[in-house]
Amino acid sequence: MGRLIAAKDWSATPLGAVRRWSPELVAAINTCLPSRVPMLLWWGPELLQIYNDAYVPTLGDKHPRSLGQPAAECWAEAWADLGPLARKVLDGEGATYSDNHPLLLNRHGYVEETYWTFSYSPVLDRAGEVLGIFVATTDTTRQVLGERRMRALHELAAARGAVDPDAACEAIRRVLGEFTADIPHAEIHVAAESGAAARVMVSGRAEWRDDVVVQPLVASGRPAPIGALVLGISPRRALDTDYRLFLDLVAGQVGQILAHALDYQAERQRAEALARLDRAKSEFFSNVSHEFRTPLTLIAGPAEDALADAAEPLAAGQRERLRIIRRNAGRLGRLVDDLLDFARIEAGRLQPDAVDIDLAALTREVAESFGPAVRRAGLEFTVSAPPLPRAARVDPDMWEKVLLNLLSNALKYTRSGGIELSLLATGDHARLTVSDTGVGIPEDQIPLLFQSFHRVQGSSGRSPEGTGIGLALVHELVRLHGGSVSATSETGVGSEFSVLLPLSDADRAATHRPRGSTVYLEEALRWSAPEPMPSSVGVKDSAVVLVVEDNADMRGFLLRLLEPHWRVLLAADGTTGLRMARTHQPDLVLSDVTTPGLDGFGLVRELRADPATAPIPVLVLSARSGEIDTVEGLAAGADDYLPKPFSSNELVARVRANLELARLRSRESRFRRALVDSLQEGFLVADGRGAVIEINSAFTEITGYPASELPTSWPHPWLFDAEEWPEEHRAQQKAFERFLAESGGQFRIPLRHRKGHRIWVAVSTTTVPDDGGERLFVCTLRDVTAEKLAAERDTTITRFAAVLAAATDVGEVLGSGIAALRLALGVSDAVAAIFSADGAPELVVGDLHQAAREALTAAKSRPVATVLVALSETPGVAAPLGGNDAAVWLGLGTGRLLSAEEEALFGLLSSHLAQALHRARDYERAREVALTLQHAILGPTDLPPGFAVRYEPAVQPLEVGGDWYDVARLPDGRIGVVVGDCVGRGLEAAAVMGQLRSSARALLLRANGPAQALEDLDTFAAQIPGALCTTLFCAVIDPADGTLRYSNAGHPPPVLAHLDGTHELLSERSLPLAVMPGRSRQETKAQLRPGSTLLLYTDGLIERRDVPVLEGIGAAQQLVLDSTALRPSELADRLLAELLPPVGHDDDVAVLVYRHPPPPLALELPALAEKLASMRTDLRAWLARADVTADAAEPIVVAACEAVTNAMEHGYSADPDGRVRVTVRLDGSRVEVVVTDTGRWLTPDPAPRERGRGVRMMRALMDDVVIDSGNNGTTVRMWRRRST
Amino acid sequence: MTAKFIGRDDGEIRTVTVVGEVDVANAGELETALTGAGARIVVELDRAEYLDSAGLRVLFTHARTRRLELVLRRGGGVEQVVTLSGLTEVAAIRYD
Repeated sequence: MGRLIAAKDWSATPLGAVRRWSPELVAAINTCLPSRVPMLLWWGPELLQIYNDAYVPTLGDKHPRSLGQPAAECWAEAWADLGPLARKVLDGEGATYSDNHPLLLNRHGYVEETYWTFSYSPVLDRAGEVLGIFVATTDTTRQVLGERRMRALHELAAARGAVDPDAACEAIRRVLGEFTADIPHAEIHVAAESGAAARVMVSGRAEWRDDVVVQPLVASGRPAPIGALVLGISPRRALDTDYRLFLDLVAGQVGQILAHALDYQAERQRAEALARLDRAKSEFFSNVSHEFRTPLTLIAGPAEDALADAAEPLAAGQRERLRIIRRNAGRLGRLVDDLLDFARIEAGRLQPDAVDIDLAALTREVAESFGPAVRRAGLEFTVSAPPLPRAARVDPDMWEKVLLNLLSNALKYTRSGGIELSLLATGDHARLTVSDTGVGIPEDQIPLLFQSFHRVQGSSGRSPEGTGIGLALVHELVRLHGGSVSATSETGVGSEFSVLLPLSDADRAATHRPRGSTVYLEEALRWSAPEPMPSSVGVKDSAVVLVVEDNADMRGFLLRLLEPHWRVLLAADGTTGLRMARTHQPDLVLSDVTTPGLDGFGLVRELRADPATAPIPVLVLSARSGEIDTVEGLAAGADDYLPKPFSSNELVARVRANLELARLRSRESRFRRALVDSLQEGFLVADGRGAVIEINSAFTEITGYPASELPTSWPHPWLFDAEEWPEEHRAQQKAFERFLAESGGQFRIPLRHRKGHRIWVAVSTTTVPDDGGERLFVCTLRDVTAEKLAAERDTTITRFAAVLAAATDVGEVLGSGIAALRLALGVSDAVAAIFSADGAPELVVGDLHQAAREALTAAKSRPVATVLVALSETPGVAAPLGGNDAAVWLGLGTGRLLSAEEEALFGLLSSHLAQALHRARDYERAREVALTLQHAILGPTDLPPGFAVRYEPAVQPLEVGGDWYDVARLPDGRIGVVVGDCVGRGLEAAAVMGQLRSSARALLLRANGPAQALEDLDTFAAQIPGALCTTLFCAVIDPADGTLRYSNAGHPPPVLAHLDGTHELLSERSLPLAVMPGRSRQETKAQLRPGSTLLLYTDGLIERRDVPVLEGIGAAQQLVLDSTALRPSELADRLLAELLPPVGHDDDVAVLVYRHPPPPLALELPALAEKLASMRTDLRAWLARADVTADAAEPIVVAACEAVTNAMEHGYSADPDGRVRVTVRLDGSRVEVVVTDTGRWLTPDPAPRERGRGVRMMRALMDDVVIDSGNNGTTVRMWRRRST
Repeated sequence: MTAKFIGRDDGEIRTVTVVGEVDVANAGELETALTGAGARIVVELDRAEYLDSAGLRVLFTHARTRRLELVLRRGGGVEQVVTLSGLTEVAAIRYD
């Protein structure tokens, strides 16, 4: 700028020719020009402009026209704003300060939205007249926009939760409509296949450029974009990286909001479909029940007729049969009615036909009609229903149903004691209570009692029959009458059901005769009906059959079926059945599955457990038909199984067959054969010398060795060879030793199948004495290979998943995944790779040889869990790892093939790996976004020399945080530094952080020192919600003399370490921000010494859950002391690498390091070429300590060496004892190297072209070189900037 | 000893690999390694850490009479020195 100013013809301007300029103007220009802070000087009443180099970028294409131009002309577009401010200063009203002031400037060919923090200070003459204005400016556009965009994203995030795409679009439109400065126009296009076709104009008011950005709308969990987002670009902003990132993030948010809305909509549609299905089910149910009634009527009707027919009376036997038919048709009819009622209630179609009746009279009559059943069961029955004061409005049929259901329920579950019914008036209500002394209901079942189809678990009633509908029906019927029903119960003591029914206003009531439904009564009577007596007439066979059946009709029916053939014993429940079986030793047991007390399967188990009853064949009957029952029955040891309904002939045939079989078994010789061969388990008998003398067919099936190869002497062919199968051999050996020691036992061992492969069996062995007194060994064995493999596979998968869970980044996941795969499948050649879009490998773990590469490429785009088998020269398997760009390969080596199980395992493991990889990638993407966001707020990385800063987001949860750092160049050459930590994390904390950061910076630029800055910040922060309790450390460093003035607001103490190994903690007690606004802050001074290192940090660096804070600070301190030879940036990296836990730090971290210029390096070396190498080593170390960047350091080393070489070659060519002195020091932002010798240079140089190369090199490498050569020696002085 | 010079001949091509730092103290060894070479010389500097004008002098001397090819590593201090010295004008440059 100096040259430009000198070159300009000023005489044409009001300032006049340069030599006429006033001393004040010259002084002002001299202050302005050398400064590195952007500065502008307005001079004279026209405010003619003069500015320094640092200010040029601010002007854009206004420069150089703007030099000497009146301010009003240069800033015409903003002068309406700026003019009045300048006017005030000119009028003597003092300096102005504007914070984040918006200005629309045209300096790059378009009107640009910018923000500035600036101050106008008057330049006064001695008389106090204003001569001009100093303008100091900071461009805060980036921060202001960053904060605004953060807010937009934050508000978008809050718009989540819309329940359909239209609402979502509306919510997005509302938010984006507030941010038209960044997004003047937006359109959302949702793809039709996403479930909603929509094209929504979101906001189109503001002007926007012709060009737009189109972003795919992607959402996590969706393979394809759900649509596209068209975003108009602000004509007032260039589409730079920040802007693009912002638009990316907006698209991400919009995608998520829409995806959420679409998901929600889909969910709602599913729910509606389910409700429709439910209605259809009810309707179907109602139709079907209806259809049942016709055939039922046609069964019960003719039966009734036949019984009543006096003209052609039936014989006694036939009458009994027809009574059974009538009774059961009636029962079925009641069930159908109940179900129908229920369906009607659900559909809202059952309305009570209510009349005012004398409820007490009706209740008494119904109760009395049920009386016989209760009394026959040997229970006491008390009915107390005195007349009620008023009538009740009740549907009599429904009330009858309520009463009968409650009574039969009470009877069903009461074995002794009594049942009590009472109906009493309580206020406006009648209360019906039915209590019993029955089994009671478990407490946790009571709330479920009145739910339809719920049956109380585990209680034993007189009959387990029932649909679980009775109480639910009671509940619904009572509810229809505006009443309520409740139950209390105590297990083993009894239950009480209460119905509360409103009384009507009418005091006159009709009496109503109950309809007289006999169905309930008949059914209840059967529960305690007298046993049909087995007769022993006409028995052809002496075999005894025990029938266990709870339904009396069924019992009678079975008795009549079986009686003609065998002697029949009857039992009504499982417990009785078992007792009778033990006493009578029947030849066969025929049992129902659902018998009260002990059920059919339990009975079988009990019978089998007792050696005396174990051989009795058991035939099981069940009404529940289904495979599962069959399996359960046979597993329990039943011999045969017959589902209801069954034909009489079939039952008789089955009983006969089972009796025959049992008879066969009783013949000793065949018994064993039949038993052994009927065994599912393998069976083996060996003699005293270990020779196998008998096996069964199951054994052959399991092991492959046929009975024809017997006898087989020791060692058996299924034992493993010690050399070939050492592990299996050991396992067999161990089991054998245990067997010998214990003469039997149970083992799980491997066996060698006849075909050579390994199988696993569970063996049970025992020793028995033979008839001849010799010992025999008997083994049964079961093939458990599949179980064993499954268990091993589970273990492998669990281990694999654990290994993967510990890995965090993509490389680590692939690394551990490959290692674990090698181990799991026993292969050595394993490779995983991620490919870039052009097919080149981007990340490879393992050796990516040709075969692997081909297979990986083929596999990468397949669906996850696909296994590709390569059978080429290099056989192997490959599987994709998701994302269409990653895959894993296992080389198998020749001669090895994966078994089907191994292949499946590989598929499974690879899909686990794919999942872990997906997780890691998601994580890395999220981390990148968090970092980019934070860095966007934290601003420029252009730091003064000696400084290094780092920011590291928390790993869990991965979010932007509230930590920050700042380095501000102050106008006087000092440097302000701030490190702070806002409470909380996430966008809110980041927004608070952004405000505090720019305020702190502005205050430092303006205020008198750090304490003043903190005091002002206290006041400011008190007004920002969320800023309370922020901690920060604020300091001003003078790089020239090393003074450090600081003030702390509750922040952890910074570390100051000196070159001599001493250190200090800058710890003063202080309060966090805004805790006591208005209170003064303490300011402390510390002294930096040459080479001292200052470390500022946030607590994330030093706080660990299990380590005391002081210890954490101590560790940081020690690292700083150990790293005085590292560059600040290297030190910052080292601190993060060594102090943060290797995985999952949960707090974010900001670190700021400053290295004060070190003391000059002074070397003196003899004129010996071999000393050059060690000189370079010293020089490099010093340059690192002085924070000279790597690209500046090496040229300095070369230049210094050239100078020393010249001194040695020329100065001391004749004087090997001569010494060369090298001094290196920091000179502001430059490095100065001085090389001095006292020798005489040989002149002229014998080969100037070659010899002069060293000097040329120095000039080329350094910014400035001065060579001063005389009789007393030569001094070379060179300078170079510390950074390029 | 701050550097290693490994020379080998393949027909008329002499290849010398330089590992480490070359300055006036050991430039003579580089000279020795190049002595007696044929018409073509390849000097592999991609593993050289440092090269100053003494080393350059040797290379320039040989570039005058032979076809000289240099192998460099991008971005290193050696590349900068070679480029600044003008050696790129008289030698063929190859990057590893």
